[in-house]
Amino acid sequence: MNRVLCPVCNVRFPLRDPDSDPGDTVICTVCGACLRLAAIAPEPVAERAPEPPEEEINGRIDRFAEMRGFVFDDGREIVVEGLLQKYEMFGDFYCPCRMENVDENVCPCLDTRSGSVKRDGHCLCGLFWLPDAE
Amino acid sequence: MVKMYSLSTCPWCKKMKRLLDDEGIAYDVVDLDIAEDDEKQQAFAEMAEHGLSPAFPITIVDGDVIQGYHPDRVKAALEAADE
Repeated sequence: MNRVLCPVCNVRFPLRDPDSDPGDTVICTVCGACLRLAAIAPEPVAERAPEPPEEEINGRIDRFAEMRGFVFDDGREIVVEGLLQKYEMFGDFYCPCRMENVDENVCPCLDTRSGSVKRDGHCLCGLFWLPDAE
Repeated sequence: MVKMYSLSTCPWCKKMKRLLDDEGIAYDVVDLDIAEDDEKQQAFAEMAEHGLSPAFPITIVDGDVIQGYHPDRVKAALEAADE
């Protein structure tokens, strides 16, 4: 099965549809990013699908939460507000609680993808929660 | 005297600012992600003095340092400062 590098989380994920064509939309199975296939051969290349920032980040976090079984609380809005501020000021959806605007801090950040929600009940900025966490 | 180190984007920092505003508490705040370099250096020096990592908010109430969003501890420090 072909694997494609996600430009958001920098992880390769399997391209499930063998009949994919350039221009097709694919969802990263690691971070939930909505991507567009820029090429298929000699190997698949994906780029971020052009979307308005608010739609992009809300769609991504919804898909990621669903994939991982995480939920949101009533603090979602204030966190998304911070993510959009980071996008405007620093060019990407960096975690609003971290000072370092680096790739691993692009939401859903590496920490969150690597088990911090299961460990702490929620991610650092309180966006993703375990269903039974307080 | 209340001082706060925060990030302008951080939801926990926004909640802490809202708490202090609601309590009618005057405070100095430095948003480190948008602060000038000299302000930033001063803040990091003070954080180092207290042995603090850059996790926000950091709320200092008359020398009592509270790192993170802990409303109860901040209220207790405010009450102690009033006595």
